[in-house]
Amino acid sequence: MKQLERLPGIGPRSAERIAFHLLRTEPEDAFALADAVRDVKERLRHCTRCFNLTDTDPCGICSDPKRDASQVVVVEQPKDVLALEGTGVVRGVYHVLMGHIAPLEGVEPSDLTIEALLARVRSGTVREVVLATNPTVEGDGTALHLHSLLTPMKVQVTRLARGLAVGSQVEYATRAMLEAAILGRTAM
Amino acid sequence: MALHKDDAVVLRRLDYAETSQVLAFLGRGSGQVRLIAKGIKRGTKKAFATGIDLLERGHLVFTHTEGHGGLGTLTEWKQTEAFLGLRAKLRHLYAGQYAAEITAQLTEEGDPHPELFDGLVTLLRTLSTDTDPLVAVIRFQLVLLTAVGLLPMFDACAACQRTTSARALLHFSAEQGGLVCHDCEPSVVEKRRITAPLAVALTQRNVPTALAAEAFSLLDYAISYAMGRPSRLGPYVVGQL
Ligand SMILES: [Zn+2]
Ligand SMILES: [Zn+2]
Repeated sequence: MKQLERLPGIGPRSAERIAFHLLRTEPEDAFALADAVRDVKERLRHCTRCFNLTDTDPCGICSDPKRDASQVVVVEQPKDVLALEGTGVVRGVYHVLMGHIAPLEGVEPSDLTIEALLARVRSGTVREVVLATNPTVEGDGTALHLHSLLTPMKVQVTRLARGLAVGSQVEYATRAMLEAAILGRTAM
Repeated sequence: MALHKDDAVVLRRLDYAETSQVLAFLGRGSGQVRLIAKGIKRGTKKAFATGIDLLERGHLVFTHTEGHGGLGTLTEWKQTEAFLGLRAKLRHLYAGQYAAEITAQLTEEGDPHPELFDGLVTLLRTLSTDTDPLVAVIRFQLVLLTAVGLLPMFDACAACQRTTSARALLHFSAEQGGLVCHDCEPSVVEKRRITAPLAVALTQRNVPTALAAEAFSLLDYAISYAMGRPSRLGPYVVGQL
């Protein structure tokens, strides 16, 4: 139970509930879970092309012939790939930076997978780079840094729209959201 | 526990545990304030549901834990100024973060400097426009050094206190706390040479654009000395990184 408690989001009570559940399940189910946990540790790694977490290399997205490899969506974390994939809207492939440039915390451009991204673009198969970093000071800074590196490379650089959250209300939006929404308004 | 309110700018934010963050603010009336924002990353708390970004200004409401250097708790944040123009250019964004770094390092909790807060807001507004970031940052470096009582001596020798023409003051020593004259310079170990035009400009507190890079680097040197380490953002501000 101590081991379970160390998992994120699991408190002592949840750990107890999981432990009792495991005691009640069939042995093969419990062992299947144990195998799955071991697999994560032994087989999960970063895709050598896009740095997403994967158990095959290249990952399922990079090796899918139906994806548009000429469009690369750049994100900060593997979690962001999951979120974007959940929409089903992205036709392209990804590039995971493994963080953002955060000089205040000592994270420099060389700590990210920027060189690998540039190499992908240099290979000549990329038509558009979509910057999907977080709209925070660090995320925007990282996007500006990438933009300056990509500009001389004759590739289209776009970034995600910013402003109001869909489904929210104008009345409750922050000033930053409203300003961004007005500046980035689109024709109807 | 008593609720405190202040007008504040976000200087630093660090993820803490799964869903929380520790934030450092500069409050106009309270000086530096370090608070924990519980559950902020879950985005469910109405009081700060959309997250809090670096360098934004807002109305801060917090409870303070007495003594023991314990962290107070952020109870409410309402953004009042976002300085979005800051994000149009990388050098402007780095200049803003540089100001946040040196302010967080050189100010203390419970030691308010309203004029420093106003200087920071002015800087962030200026950086949100198209003006040269370096000149604006130099003005802020001087405001910060003045506020915390560390402004180097530029109009007399910091070692012998003699007033002498600016052209005889061609060395700067952070340890001595200012420019050092021709006579004192040989016995001062920690020092760096500066050019005659910069010495004159500093004495007159009027740094022209042509000398901005040199002036920034000198003031950053003095600030780094006071912080006990080189500034992380300094090289980014001058475009070396
Ligand atoms: Zn991949
Ligand atoms: Zn002297």
